[in-house]
Amino acid sequence: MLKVISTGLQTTFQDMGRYGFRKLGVPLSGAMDKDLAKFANHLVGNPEDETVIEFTIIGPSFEVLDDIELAVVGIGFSLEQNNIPIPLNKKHFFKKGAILKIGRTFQSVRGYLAVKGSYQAEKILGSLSFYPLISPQLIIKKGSLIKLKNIQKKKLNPPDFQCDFDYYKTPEIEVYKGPEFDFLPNEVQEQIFSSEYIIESQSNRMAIFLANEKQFSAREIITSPVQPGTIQLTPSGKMIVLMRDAQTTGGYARVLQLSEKAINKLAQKPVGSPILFQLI
Amino acid sequence: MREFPKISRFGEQAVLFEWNAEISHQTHIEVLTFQEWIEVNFSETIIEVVPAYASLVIYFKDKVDVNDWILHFRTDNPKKEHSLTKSRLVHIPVCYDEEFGLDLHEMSSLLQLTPKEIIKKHTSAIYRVYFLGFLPGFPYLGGLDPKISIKRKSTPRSLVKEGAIGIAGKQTGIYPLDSPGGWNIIGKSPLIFFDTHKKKPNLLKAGDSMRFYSITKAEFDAIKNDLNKGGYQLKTENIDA
Repeated sequence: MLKVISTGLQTTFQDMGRYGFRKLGVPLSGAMDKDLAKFANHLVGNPEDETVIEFTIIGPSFEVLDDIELAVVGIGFSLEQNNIPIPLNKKHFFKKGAILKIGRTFQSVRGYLAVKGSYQAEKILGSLSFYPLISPQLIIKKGSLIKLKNIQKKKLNPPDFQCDFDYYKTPEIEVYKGPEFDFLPNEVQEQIFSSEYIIESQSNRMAIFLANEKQFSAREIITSPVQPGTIQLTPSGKMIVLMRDAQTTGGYARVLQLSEKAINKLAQKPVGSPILFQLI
Repeated sequence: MREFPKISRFGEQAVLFEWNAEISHQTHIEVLTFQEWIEVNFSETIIEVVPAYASLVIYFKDKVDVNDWILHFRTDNPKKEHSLTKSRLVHIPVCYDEEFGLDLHEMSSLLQLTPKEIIKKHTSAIYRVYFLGFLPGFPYLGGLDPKISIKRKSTPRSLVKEGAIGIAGKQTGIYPLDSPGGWNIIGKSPLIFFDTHKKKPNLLKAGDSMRFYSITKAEFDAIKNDLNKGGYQLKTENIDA
């Protein structure tokens, strides 16, 4: 068991998502950066789609109540075992009674804690991903106890799992053309790719808002399906990147679509970071 | 059936099918007929299909090469003879009392109609559930009487309770869960529209027809009571699609 000493920011359970219910209007959810979540599981020997704890900019602290193996994966977070700094992105042994303290990062946004085994909680529609409207209990609360259990079935991981941390450093975000791209005037199409964008502060797990230096816009469309990574361009000229908790349908023009890897990368860009779009 | 919809790849693991961009009964029946056909014939390769008014998207499993799939699909263009012919008409009880119809009075003065007239128009129409979206279990309904169409509230409420019935623009809708919202609230249904503990969590589904009927507060309480005891029977019938 883990006892929550402090929660950090937006600290929630997440897995690879709540599949199969999108036609009922249920968002996919799941880890914002799936690659780092998988890497955390890989380090402790879990199946890579096992549930992890996701935290945002400031990490949580726990008292460890059993002997366990764990890994904290992220970019730039400070990490301590009984007040002694230990490295990120490695497996560690924690003795019963030890204190795990995850600090803050200035270089990225989201980090992941995986323990060997799995977190014990009630799945909602087949998933342990927190989403406020249907699984509000899957948020980490101060003072609560997080139960652990051994994993029954073994899935084999790819043996050579590596995480390319350099990938996160560059501003380029890889995209496909979205369904409405070809209907935009040529000059708007060009501006989308020549503009530099800045991540805005109201960004969250539903969407990342971008400030752009150039002015262009698109008309609304008849409400149509959208997915994580869809970039909507509004009539007022806002570029909005839908993220893991996004609605399943939307009425703004879908101008671009991020690659899966690019969604992970964008999820790690702090407020104020510059980004550019690069066509795949 | 009309000409086949436009097919395009939508990101890494999805394919989009688009019909004429219109809100029409006929187009929507084509969308849902096609959805059913995909779900039956490609159950091994797809994760799920999400329909909307005039398009649908197929989300594929990771093992599927989406470009290959499109290529095969184009050359192997399926002939579909059948079309959905029946629709389930669901009767939804609504209490329009002042306690629940928070905006009925304001609407009454804006629309120059008495609350009674608004309720009569709201309960006369048969609505079509085009698809679920916006919130888990939220039905996009077509068929609102234009005389009771009204723009959304200038200041949204921070909390609209589950079961609330609202109108915004040309649409009426049901809040399946507690959430913030800017629709004009005219009543409340005692039914549960989205229950995560059920295998099928949604009360309504795309393609349903729907009609509201007015109930008293006493009937509202009685239905709630029946629901708690598990003894409520949803009123449905089959009609032509």
